[in-house]
Amino acid sequence: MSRLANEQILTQLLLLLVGVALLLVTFQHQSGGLPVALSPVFFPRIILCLWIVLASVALFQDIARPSKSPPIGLLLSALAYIIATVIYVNLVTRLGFGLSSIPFAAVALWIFGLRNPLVIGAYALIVPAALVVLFNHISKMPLPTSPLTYLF
Amino acid sequence: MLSSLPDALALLLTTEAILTLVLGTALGIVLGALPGIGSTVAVAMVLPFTLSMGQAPAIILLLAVYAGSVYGGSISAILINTPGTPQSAATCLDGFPMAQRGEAGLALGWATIASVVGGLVSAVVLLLAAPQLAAIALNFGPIETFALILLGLTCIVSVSSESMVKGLMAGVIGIFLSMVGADPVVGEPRFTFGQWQLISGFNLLAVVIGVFALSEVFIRAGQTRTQVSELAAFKGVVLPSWQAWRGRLRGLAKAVAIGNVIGVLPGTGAATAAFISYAEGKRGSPRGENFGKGEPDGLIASEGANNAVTGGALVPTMALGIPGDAITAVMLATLTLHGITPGFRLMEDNPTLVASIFAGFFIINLLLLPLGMLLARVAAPILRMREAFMMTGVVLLCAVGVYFVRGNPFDLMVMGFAGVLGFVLRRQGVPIAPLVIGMVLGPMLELTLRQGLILTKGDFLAFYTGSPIALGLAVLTLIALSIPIVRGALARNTRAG
Repeated sequence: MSRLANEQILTQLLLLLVGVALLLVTFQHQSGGLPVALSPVFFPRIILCLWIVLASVALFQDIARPSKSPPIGLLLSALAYIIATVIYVNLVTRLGFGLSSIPFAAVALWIFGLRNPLVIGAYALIVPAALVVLFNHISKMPLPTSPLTYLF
Repeated sequence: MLSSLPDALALLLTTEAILTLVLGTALGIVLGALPGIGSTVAVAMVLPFTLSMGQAPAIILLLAVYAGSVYGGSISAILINTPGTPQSAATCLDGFPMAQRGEAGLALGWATIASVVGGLVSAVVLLLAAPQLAAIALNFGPIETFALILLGLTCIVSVSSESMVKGLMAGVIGIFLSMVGADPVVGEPRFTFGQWQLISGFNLLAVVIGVFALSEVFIRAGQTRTQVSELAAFKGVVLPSWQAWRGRLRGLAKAVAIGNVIGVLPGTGAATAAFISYAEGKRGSPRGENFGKGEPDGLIASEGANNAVTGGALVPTMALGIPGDAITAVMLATLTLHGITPGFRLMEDNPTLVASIFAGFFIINLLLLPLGMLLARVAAPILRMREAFMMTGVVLLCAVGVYFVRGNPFDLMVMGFAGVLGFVLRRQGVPIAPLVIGMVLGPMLELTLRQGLILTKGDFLAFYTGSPIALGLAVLTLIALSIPIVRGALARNTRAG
């Protein structure tokens, strides 16, 4: 339970620190004698001060009354999925939609518990291929193509 | 507005518009029926594909998906006891028991008629109320608009039922995200950290899709795998007879009224309306003791109300530019992306466009009946689709959709970042809808504040001493912020007593 509570507290602390860091960034700005209303950092400072206040209150609330966090459960699965997705979105425009979606779909299905290689392979090939055909060749709304060929 | 209806109908009687109405409603019904998708994700996923369309078809498509998905949630609620959308959760209570005793088709019939009536009445309310509200808002300058947006932001409090502080923080994060990029007044880059891609800020659509759709997939990936649900026997929608409606029309009228009123209030949504209506229906129905055991009155109460919300929620969105809930916040973003500024000027400058949207919404709700009857049979076997296939498909479609916005690879990375942010926040009980609401309203909030300060020569107090409208709205804002605090204090006193 204490580990679950720490997850919430750490997250709130991180949000608080991010807010403070961003507020400090605004003080690097040179106002150049502009009136308050014209200063580009006027409104951000208000919002970031609110951010810091709210994050502090939320942090103290979580320390004082740790509420039930969601169970760790398959957190590793979620993290693996997140990593796969982040890699995928970075590769879409480099390798093309088709080439990057096939391994991503296979990994994603495996993370979600599918183990039949035929089913995984069929889905991972058919769905991205169908999307490439639909968008690139039928509706002429081209998705990123691979460096190998314009076809996918 | 009514004088523009003939021109509006002419706009709707084109091939593109008719296809949009039919296909959009059908798509909405199917997406709404799929558990885990929901109305917000459905609208967010379709949003990128509207960018290549005209203004009216784009908005009508989103409305069709919205209204269709609200109804579609009842299909899975009745057939597999799993609501396709949060607003159909109350439908499970009586819908599934009816399905279990072999009346799945009839249960869907009750739900379909109630949804259609609720939606049609809300379309009429939208047509009549929105222009009146917009006419009042013609008196608004920057100061009054600032006060109005502050009031609208209090809807953040309403959608943050678990933690007001966390909801407000999400809203503040959303407002901050909207500030990244060039300053709207002097054009100086803010928070770009030398990255040229951030000069134009975070793409709103990429953030919306990331925090709603992608974070949902991440959450699902971190949960225990659910088995494929058992599907109740179902041969098609069976409409109830006229005699069966005797003694139930008053309940339907009450449900529709509750849905419309709640829909107009910023911050509340269809789920709230459905449960309030269900509770009221149980209290007022002569068959109240049968609620929860397969009583059609329960279906009428929940489905009549949740579809009645759809039009009501559009009233503050179209008339004032203030979203009624997370879905209308997404729609507000769409309007902005299409160069339409909702609010008081919209009705005056684009009466035909507005009339076509309202008329289209009316037609969408008419289409719910035939399409619902047709698609319920199609959607039923799809409900047995494994979550793995559905979620992976969602990610692929999200990537396609976001890429189509600007063809900018950076938007895909923004989507990924927003998905991670949404996942982290949701795990800590921070609601996501306020983040989107903050991001949508943030730019106007800043602009009107700064314009107002220029007008008052930097005197913020003059905002309220010089404008009775702004003062009145400020009082309403304070009341809206105080209600959850007072309610919480009363609840604690009751428990202590």
